[in-house]
Amino acid sequence: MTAENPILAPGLPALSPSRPHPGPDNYLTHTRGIASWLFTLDHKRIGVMYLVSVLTSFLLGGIFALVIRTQLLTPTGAVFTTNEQYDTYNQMFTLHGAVMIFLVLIPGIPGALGNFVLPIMLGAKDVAFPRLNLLSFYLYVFGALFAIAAIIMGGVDTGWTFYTPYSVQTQTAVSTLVFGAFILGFSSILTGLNFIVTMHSLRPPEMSWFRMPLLLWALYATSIIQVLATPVLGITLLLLIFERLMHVGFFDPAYGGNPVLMQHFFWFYSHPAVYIMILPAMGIMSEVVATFSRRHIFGYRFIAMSSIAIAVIGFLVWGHHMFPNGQSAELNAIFSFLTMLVAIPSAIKVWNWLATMYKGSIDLKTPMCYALAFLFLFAIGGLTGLFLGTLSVDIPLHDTYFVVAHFHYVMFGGTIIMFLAGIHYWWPKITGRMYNETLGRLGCFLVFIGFNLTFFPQFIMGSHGMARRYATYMPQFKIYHQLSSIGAFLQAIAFTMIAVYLIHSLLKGKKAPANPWGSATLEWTCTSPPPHDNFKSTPQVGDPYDYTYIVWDAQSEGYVRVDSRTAAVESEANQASTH
Amino acid sequence: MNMTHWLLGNCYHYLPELLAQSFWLPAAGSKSASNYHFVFNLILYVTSFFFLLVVGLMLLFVIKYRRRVVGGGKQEKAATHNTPLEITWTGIPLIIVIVFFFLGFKGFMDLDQPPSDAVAIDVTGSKWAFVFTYPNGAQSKDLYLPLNKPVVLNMTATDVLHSLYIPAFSVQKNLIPQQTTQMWFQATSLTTDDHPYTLFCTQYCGQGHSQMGSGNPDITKASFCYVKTESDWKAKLEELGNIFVNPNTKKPLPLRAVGEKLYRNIGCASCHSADGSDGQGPTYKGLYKCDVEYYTSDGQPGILRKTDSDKLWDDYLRESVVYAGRKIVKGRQNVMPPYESQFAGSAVKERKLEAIIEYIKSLGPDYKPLPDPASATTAPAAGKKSGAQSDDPFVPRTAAPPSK
Repeated sequence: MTAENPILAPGLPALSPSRPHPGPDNYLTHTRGIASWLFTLDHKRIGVMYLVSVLTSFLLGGIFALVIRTQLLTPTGAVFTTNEQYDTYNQMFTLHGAVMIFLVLIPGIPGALGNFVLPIMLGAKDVAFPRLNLLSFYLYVFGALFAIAAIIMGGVDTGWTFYTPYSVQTQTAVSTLVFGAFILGFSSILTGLNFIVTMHSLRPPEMSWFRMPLLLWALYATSIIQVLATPVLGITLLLLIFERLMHVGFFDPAYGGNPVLMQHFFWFYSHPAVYIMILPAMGIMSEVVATFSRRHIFGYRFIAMSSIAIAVIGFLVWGHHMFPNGQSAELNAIFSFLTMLVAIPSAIKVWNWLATMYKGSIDLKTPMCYALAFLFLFAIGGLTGLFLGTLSVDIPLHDTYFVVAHFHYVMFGGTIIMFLAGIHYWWPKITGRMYNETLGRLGCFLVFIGFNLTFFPQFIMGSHGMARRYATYMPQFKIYHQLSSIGAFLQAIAFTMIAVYLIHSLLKGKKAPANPWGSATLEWTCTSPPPHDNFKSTPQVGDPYDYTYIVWDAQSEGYVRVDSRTAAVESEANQASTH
Repeated sequence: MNMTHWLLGNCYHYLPELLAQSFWLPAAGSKSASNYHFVFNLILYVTSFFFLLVVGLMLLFVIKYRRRVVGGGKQEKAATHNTPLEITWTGIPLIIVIVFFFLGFKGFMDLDQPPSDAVAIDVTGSKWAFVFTYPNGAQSKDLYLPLNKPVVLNMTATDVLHSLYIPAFSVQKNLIPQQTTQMWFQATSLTTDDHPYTLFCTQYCGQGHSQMGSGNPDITKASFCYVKTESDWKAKLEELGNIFVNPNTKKPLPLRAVGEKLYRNIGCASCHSADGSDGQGPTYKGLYKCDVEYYTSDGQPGILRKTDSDKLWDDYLRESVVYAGRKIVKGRQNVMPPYESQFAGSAVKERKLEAIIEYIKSLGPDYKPLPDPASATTAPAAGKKSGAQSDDPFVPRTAAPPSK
């Protein structure tokens, strides 16, 4: 046992660097057969099933996006040119939004990566409620099936925001898709609840709150939002279904309802929801930037508390989605002010990440390349948010491509980029295989270029007055739309390449060491892939960002943890040899 | 000393102007747009500085502290926290965003309350056209504005949410059914007829969303915004108001021509073509006296044949113009809002309805034009009591055309 993992038996002296070998038993080989996956209670397998489902949804949402961008190659539309065909275009952007938001961005990092790494990072054997975890996955699948049913039934053309009264009046499959989103909400709530309880009750004795890796703080803040905000969306969507089916007047003036009420309900969830999407990405950023800078994270408590601050203030800014809808000036002023405040915790995080890189030893492995791309893109996404938070500036930019670009810089440039960073970072741990590093970096570079080419022109056309959700447009915007479409095609090539080398890695990749990047968090003390129960005994918990005793081992091409005494001896020897 | 003073003075004077010019924004056409340009550019410069700072530091660190040995060697001992530094980089952005907030709030408050002497124009948004109604009752699909006079738009929608967005004035507001929203501005430069300002619907409203406003590729259907001198503006309103007369000869127009004008001005043309081409609604060409299959609002199918009587066809057309939802042509969706406010409630509105129907008939087979009212020397205002006319602010000034 000690030979396998010296960390697990801290009392025993380890005289030489001992490296964990991938044993024959891991979570992938523990049991076999389809049923062992479908009925698994192992958080790691559930995480992998989430990962596969989320990536499939990403492919679907991406295809919708490519259809949109192909249509907008010419001012009168390159694909849909008649009025009936515009309906199909409207369905494309609705489904692109709904699939990406509800099936990719919200469950993506918490469901797939969070499920896999949260218990191991914490030093636990599983989440608090493994059965609830499996239920939450199946609710996700069930919700996704409803979404697919809605697509087969002829699609939905309301935009992902389901604004009334249009969503009450249109004869497309709104109720089906909305019910799917309602079910997905439960999946999200249960995941959040599970994570909160896990972090409260399953921490090993030495794992104090301030020894938790920052990803866990981020997931904690995310879970709070999921549990508190999602029920509001759930009930709103149910009311919408009631109104459609039974003409109960909630939101449609034709039945005595108020459409603005629906917007308040909707954004009360959907604004915090963007923090459900971005906070876990920020958590991954903290892990990746510290590991690849080989430097203790700077300002741990400020980063941790800024996650909580974002979760709290994020609840109070929803009204900025409604600045031009005639709500009172006082209300607009309050929402504008609070929106400004929510920018500050994000800024704190960015400065601390930069300070972590200062005097580090920066290794540009694929996850770190994504982290740098994130800093660049999230800086643009965050700073353009200041334009939109400023009342008089938001008014003319509202519902233009400026907003579309801002949103994609945060959600794609932020969340998807860090999701990719996380996939590459934990890939060796999840699969036990390494991928081709050169192709990994190239993929990151192509995504970065393609992304900017797609979305930067959208800022310009937005500020020039290009409204969103248009199937056709005035010729003055042609050049920006065409650049944008070329960028989208480039991204499609980049993502295809990434998929190919990752699948190749699964089949032919080099065996991964336990700790290929030199991280100090607990999941890297397990073998790659981890054993079924994660830890044979309660792990020893230290500072998650202290890399002093994590040293490179050329033989295993990974990092190993050395005992402090050995390290002291080696370091003296090193010093003696250099002098 | 003097030099400094001069520099400072000039900066203060020119800075806003300098900041107001930009590659990023359309030319400012209103007072509030200039303010918007100033704040936009200020934020642009400040955020650009911080963006360059972040990315610059990032690149500097990546180059300077790149890993030189495999595995990274011994970890550098460096500080893991520094509270004064944290407070600094929290405090400075906080002050900056609060300044942004106040600038934005001030600009917004200026946009919020229209001056009491503002010219009021009503705006109705429907799928998929805006209709602007002027103080004299004139209506048009285009927005005509007087130069340098404050204008307030009182806006509402008939069916779903819409939003009126005029980039040149940097204004936008939602149109909400059964609510009235207000938006005001003061245009500060003239437009030519060739280069009007654009206006768009920015709140997604269905199939014709991108064709509502200036986005319609058919220039005869698209709406634009024209800024005219006050006298030109008044003349234009006069012309638009007197739809029953020829603006040049001041003689009454044939009912069919009146109908065609209405068709262009109050939004019909945005969905119904007159040349047989496809639209969101059935084309008017050949509509009259064709076999039309429909279903009623409670789903009952029905059919009206070309052989049916004039009376049946008249009733059908009237009903379909005013309450389109009652009988929907087979294969179409119920998207057209009711037009009661346009066509019911006064004699003039009734007359407008007759004109529209006459226009639809004229595009059908075997149309026999009504006698030209302009050629009738003794045009009697038959059936039109003068009392009924004065009820409505919009009264045909010359003689009303005779009814048949």
